[in-house]
Amino acid sequence: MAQLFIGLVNGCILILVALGLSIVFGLMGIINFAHGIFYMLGAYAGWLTVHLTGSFWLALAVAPVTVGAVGILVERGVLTRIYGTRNASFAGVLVTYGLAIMVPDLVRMTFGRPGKPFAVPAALSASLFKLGPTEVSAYRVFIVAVTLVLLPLLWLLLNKTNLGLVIRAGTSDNGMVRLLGVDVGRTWTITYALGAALAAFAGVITAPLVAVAPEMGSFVLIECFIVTVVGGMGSFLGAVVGGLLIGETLALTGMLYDVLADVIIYLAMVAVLLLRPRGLFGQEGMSEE
Amino acid sequence: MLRVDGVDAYYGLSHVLQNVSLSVQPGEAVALLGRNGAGKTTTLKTSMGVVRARRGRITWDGTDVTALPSHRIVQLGIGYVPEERRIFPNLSVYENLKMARLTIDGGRHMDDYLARVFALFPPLEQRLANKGRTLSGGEQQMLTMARSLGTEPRLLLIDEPTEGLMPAFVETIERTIGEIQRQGLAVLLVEQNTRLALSATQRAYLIEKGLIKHEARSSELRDDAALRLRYLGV
Amino acid sequence: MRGLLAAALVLATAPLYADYTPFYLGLLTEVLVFGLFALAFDVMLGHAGVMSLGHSAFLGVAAYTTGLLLARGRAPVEVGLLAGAAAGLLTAVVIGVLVLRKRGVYLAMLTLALSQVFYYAALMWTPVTGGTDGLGNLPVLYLSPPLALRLSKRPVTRYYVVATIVFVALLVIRHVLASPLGRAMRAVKANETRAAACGYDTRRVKLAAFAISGLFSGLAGALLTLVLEFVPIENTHWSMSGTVLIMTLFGGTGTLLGPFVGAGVFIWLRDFVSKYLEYWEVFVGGAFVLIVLFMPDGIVGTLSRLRARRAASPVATDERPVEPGPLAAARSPATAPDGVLLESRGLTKIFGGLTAVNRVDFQVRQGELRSVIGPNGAGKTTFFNLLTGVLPATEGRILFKGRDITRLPAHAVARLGVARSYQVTNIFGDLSVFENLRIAAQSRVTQYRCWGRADRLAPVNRRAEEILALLDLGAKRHVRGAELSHGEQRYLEIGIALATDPEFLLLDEPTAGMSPEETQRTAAFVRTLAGRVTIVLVEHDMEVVMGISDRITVLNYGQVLAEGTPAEIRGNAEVRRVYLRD
Repeated sequence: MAQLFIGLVNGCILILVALGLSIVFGLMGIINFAHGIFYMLGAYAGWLTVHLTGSFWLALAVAPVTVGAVGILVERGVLTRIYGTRNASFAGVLVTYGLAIMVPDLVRMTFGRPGKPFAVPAALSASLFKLGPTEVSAYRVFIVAVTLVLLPLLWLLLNKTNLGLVIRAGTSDNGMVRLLGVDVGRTWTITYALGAALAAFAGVITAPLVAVAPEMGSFVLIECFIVTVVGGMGSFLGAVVGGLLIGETLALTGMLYDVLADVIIYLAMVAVLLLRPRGLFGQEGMSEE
Repeated sequence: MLRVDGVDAYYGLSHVLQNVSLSVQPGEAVALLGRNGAGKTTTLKTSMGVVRARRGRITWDGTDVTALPSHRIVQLGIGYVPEERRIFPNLSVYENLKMARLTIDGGRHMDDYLARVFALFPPLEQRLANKGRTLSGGEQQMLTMARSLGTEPRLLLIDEPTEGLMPAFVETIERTIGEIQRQGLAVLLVEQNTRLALSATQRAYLIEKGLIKHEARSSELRDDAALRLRYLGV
Repeated sequence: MRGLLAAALVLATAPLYADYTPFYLGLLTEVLVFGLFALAFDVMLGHAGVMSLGHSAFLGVAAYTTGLLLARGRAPVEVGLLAGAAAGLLTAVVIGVLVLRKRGVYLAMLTLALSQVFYYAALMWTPVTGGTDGLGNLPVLYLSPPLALRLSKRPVTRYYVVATIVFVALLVIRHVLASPLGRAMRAVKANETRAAACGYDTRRVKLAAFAISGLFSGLAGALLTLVLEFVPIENTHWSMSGTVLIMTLFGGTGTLLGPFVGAGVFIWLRDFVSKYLEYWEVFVGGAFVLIVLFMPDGIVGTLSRLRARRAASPVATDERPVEPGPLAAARSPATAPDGVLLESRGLTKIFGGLTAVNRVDFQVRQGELRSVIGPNGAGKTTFFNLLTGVLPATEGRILFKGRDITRLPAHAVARLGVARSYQVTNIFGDLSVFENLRIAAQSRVTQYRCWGRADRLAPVNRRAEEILALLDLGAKRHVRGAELSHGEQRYLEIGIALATDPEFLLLDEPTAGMSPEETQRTAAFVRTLAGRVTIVLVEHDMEVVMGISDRITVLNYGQVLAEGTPAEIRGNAEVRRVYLRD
């Protein structure tokens, strides 16, 4: 029973990270291997803020903002150079993969190899209730609560604002968006930065639960790929359902044998790619090529 | 006014336009006629910056727009109604229309715009909340025209509006072109339906295999069956 | 050839000077092994055009196989190496069969996911693989008699064994790449749909590439076990697939030397830089980003491009120009019933709500030149795609020489003697003019043969020369397809279809985009072919259609509107109405 709740918490984190990855792919067609880096940078930005100011709540705000800015730099400085070239989607994979190797080393240079401790903020460290034999901490509930607040906000952003309108239109036909006078390039930059900020936020709120280390990005990245493939690239609902599914699967099978959990989700990804490439909720026609 | 001067364009490896030159004056309606593959759609796409001209120049109101990105050209006042309609299938009719207004006023004053849309295309009013993919072919054509008009163009490029639609729809198109002309817009129309094309426009170009072969007043072409047969017929 | 001799010399004398360079002998050995791995990887990426992120599985499975045989089985070193290579081959074939239904990034992600399953299997199966501790406890290694040399703790002997094996492997790979199969892979990379239309079963060709890649990746994995005398689990993790990708791109895909240079750069960075600076991955990552953005051909690739530009000489090949002879004599009498070569009955294609082709009955007799015309949206291209097996029919049948070919895929239809050209030029842009024709002609003779030089197949060369002469493109034989003028490309377009020696030729708007003079020439050319090949033509140029056709079929809204001689069609009021919509 308690595992179900752990799975829910896992799921919330995965949803927050996967959303950015999924929307970026849906709109820009780029599989962003650098996404895990933003998650990791968010955790470090959070740690640094707490280290300097002592305020966890400030860290929650600083992390997404600073990492979002990094996202803008990456998109403008690196990604724009590959748009419109031959094999742009492969170049996107390669270039973001290169960043995913480079940046953790930069972090190691700055902060050292070993991870950083990140304590659960005092206000949230109490144990709230018991589920079966397990104590459930307030912090974990906090994560779920934050996600429940963020998701509707993100949904509103995507469906009720002009930015969201352009993203949704561009996901089906970028060319027509340009032919209506809208500068698609700017939207891409903002979307990419938003994805980075969201991943960073997920990074900072997960930090008290996992080790804050330069490698933390690569673990979450693969899990995110699986979530987006299973849920469907470019789909909001897909990221939510996919995140919950994968989160629960990891928690429940982790009870038996944690390595088995990883194998199962990889097999799930293989099954989806072979049988229904667009995932549960993806749009048709985005698969194959 | 639009001037296309000696433009060469390629589609992939194919040399589709060869030294194409044409012009559209303010407020006039011009037709571009020819068989399939003659280069009509490519001419429109090159004017909109969707296809890059390899040689030659395109000027709009004196400004050289040859190398400008599409969205800038639209902002400068040329609208485009694409051949495949390209409705955003997952967006509602309202949202499709709103997309066109983003660069005009951010979609803040939709009411005036909607009123104008419904005056031209009454059936769209009932379908306002429906998703684009649920619309019939005719409704999609109306939507795409209303949408492109939403960018407040002074020249509208229209590509094959009656293709794949019932004959009754031809009348709607004819009426619409007449109406927008009355409002002062210029039109460059690519259309396979020769009767429609010649009655709705004042001037026409005949294009064949990427070369402009003939230019005449639409009324003259209407009366010259031999010429039509030569370039358009069997 | 000279390059290979030089390389052999350098390798043979390495122990004399290696320790004075950054590449001391042990490191050089490692570079050779990883260079082989990268080369094997590049067979798929640079030569067959398939990006795989799952090569760590081939390396890892082979490494464990060799390790187990040597540690537990006490097998001789040679057996261990062979088994490792075979394990790599098998793994690659299994993965290949699963993933080749997909393409592009989806294929890449599938390979990644599948290889990770192998990683986790290795992680979990601790009693066999040692889990995270890796597989150790190898005995002291010796080569078998008659050599009976000790390998363990003998870096020089080990180096020579590795260098010899890697060099031989390099020669074998080089040979395979020059074989008919190797050329087929190149064609698939250059233009997969056209390769299929020429008769190549592209999925099988890619699977063959997987097999070769897996075999040599496995050999590399086996050698790695030999060198390390240990099997670390890290080499099976997907990050190893990323590493080999980086190595290959550093050096340059599509070259033989590139992967070795790339492996050298990567390993040097790791070893040398990390001696003086604590962090080396930042350089690898940064260099990789720069290479992808600014030097996508890699070090070797960029250098050879610069050199080629300066020399501006044609690519050296072993082709000996054959005297062009007259085109093969007119075809032997039909084996088709009543002389009907191709027939469709009630052929229908529905896309969602749209009926593109509607119950079309169509018959072409042997030796006929038929044109298919119709206004926009009439379904002509869809009709062609149905006849050539590119699109599956919703209803109806297609018969070729009386035989039902309705369900056959494109490459099978092509092998029966049906060829087509495309409206939008669809040549092998990266291949030379001669190779465009040669590879098309080769499909008739062999697709998968991986021994023997492809350019020594005399009948294939003869056919290519014939077509080259017919098209009058002899002067441009070495020019890359993409660099021809438009008119020349349209000729090559038809030439590729002719090179497969078809009985039935479908030409989709052959004069598209041509000048009036070129159009005349092409029309005359098509007319001369008519006696030898049955031709169906889609065209919009009415002068051409009226001038050369025996008969004309008119389509409208996916249905046959009229059929007859040019005179009959010209006089048909219904047709005129439909075209002009007057």
